[in-house]
Amino acid sequence: MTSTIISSIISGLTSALTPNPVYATFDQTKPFGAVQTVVSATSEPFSFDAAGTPIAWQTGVNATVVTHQHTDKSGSVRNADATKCFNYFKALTSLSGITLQAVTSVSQSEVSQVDENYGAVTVSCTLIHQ
Amino acid sequence: MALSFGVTSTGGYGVLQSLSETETAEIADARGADGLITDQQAYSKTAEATAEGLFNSDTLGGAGTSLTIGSVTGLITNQSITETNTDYKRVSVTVQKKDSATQVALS
Repeated sequence: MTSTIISSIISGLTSALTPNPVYATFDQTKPFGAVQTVVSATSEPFSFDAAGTPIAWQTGVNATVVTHQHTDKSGSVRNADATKCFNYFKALTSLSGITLQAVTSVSQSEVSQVDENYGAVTVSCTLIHQ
Repeated sequence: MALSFGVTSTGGYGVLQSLSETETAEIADARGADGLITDQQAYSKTAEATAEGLFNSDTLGGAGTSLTIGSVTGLITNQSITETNTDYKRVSVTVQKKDSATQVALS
């Protein structure tokens, strides 16, 4: 399920962040100075039927925008894409592969460090879906 | 040891999430001169059942109508539907039956 959601989000964010790439895992081969967004997700049951079987899920999606600290000293490139991610999640009303019922939260983190030279901002959202 | 998991009763009150049945008795007390209770006489018993579910467009009878929840067939004394912006629409129904009373539902 999370792979379906990740694929759909990657597809949506790829359009929103054009021409910057969006991946499911951090691409170590990208050239110095590149910007990339990495999407991950975790799901857990939200509602159950009478027998205790899950019938709806709550999925937390993280989109982490990563740029090199040297070429993006001010973080403006990173922040611009993070804002686009934020707006994408905020406006999300449907996703292919699932029945999206609600987006109950959208949030953005502080800047964090990835490896030695990369800065990252994570935009998170919570989806309720079947 | 046979354990029971989940809500085993079925019925038309949405996707069942929980069901509880409660029995209460009315009891008359007799006190002695020192205030201590010396005798107790039960004279009436009430059975009540409450079901909570996710609303799935099942038709609900409404307060005052007859419904069976679990092992209790009684009159609906409380029916509530709750909607919030962070959860599915929920319904809660409570029925009550006192002793062997003949029950007449709202028509």
